[in-house]
Amino acid sequence: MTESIKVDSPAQLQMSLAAAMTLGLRPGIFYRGATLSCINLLLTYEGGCAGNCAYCGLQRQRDGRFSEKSFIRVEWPSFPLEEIIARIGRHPERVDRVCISMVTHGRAVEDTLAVARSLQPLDAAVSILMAPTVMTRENIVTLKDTGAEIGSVAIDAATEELFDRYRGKTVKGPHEWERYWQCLADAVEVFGDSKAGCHLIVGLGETEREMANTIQRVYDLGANVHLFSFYPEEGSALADREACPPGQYRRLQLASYMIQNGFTSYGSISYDESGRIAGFGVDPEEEKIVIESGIPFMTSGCPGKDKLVSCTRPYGDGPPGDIRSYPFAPNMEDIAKIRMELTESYPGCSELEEGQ
Amino acid sequence: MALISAGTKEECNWELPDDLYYHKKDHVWAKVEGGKIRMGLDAFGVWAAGDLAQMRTFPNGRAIRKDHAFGNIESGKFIGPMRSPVSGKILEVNDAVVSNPSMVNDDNYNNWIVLVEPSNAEEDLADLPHGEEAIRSWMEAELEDFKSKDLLNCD
Repeated sequence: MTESIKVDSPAQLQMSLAAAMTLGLRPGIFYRGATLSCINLLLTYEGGCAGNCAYCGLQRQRDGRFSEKSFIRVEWPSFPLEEIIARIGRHPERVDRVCISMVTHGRAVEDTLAVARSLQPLDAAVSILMAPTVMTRENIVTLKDTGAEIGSVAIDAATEELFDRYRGKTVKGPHEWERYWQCLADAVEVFGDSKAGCHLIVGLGETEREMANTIQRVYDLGANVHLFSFYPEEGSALADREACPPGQYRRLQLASYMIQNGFTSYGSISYDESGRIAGFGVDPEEEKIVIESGIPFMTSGCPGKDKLVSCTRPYGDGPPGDIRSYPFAPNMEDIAKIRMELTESYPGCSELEEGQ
Repeated sequence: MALISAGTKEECNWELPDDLYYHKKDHVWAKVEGGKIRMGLDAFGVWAAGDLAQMRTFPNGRAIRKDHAFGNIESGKFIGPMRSPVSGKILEVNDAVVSNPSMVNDDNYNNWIVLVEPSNAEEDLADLPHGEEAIRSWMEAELEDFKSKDLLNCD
């Protein structure tokens, strides 16, 4: 009798292409010398994710095996957990953090705990991207007790209407808006202030005003915002939709940074009648300094040991030739481009037809 | 054939045929075929770029210059130019490869990219690595450079 090959988590995990490159498990170098010190792992199951999010490469109704579906633009190769731990152990200087992304699956909580326990001997902080649909508050407490330092929730959509349209009832998905927000609030309570994160995707059809409002809500809760620019995932229901225009993303990157750091607030920002940001409510000189620092336009994600951001997700939300979230500090040429993008004219994503 | 090795892993061993000429920076190979030059990407260049997703080149008939781009390549995490080892004119673009660049990942020496009519081949090729010793010497320096930047990742 031959031994069956284990393809499911926790024995096996998918890993982002960028993380696999960082650990030398996949060939290739990063454009402009970008680096990543967060190893992004994804639970994997033969039966896949129970979610059916219209913009996600892992959506249930997309053809193909779960482990072969692309996710966030690229393949996520699969490796045995033992090999992953061995590779991280061999390269401690390259790894500050490991992030375990759950998927919506009945075994996700117990398997995440098993993976988190296996990571304990490593000198790396652990983040969990949680799956609220299959979790309770007690599960979050257990994750923290098992060594997780940060817990994040991918609410993704800025409004309840968009959430339902792309993740909930409309696409026959199991996710509920209120449940996601409750999970984020629980994560703040359990992990502590600024130890919870919220993923938001700019360009799913919301106005800039709506996204700024949601960003403010996240900061008011005590969580951090991890911003993504919508990029159409091949094979997903939104594959034919346009990527979020850079101007819309830049304005919300800047708004998020300035809200987080107390320069402005949702209520101080001005919007035109289409909901586009018309002014940030900040002294122009101060705004200029913030823009020229380049920091607002860098990837927002969990921190490293001595780095502002460990989870730089190089070229995760746009191709290297059209960078949306900079995985490094933008140079002067980049800042000049960003300046132009910040003032670029509409139409933005919100003007695209519904249901695209 | 120069076999260049940076570790035991299969993907960290690269074959560079010694009858080809190489653009040192972008790892574009050039093969002399009578009065024409066929070009493609060498094994190390393919390794560095990763799985190719996009490729663009100038069209047939376009004049190209040595050390200037005749196209570019893009993978999930990298974008970069392909600079020409020689000056001349593009006679033919391998459209099958340009529309499906992963063919280069599968077989980078048979899946060429452009065929060129050179304008000054003898002079242009003179300073390019060619022959096992020259290729080995160039690649040793290249590997050192990658190692110093922590880009080799072959252990």
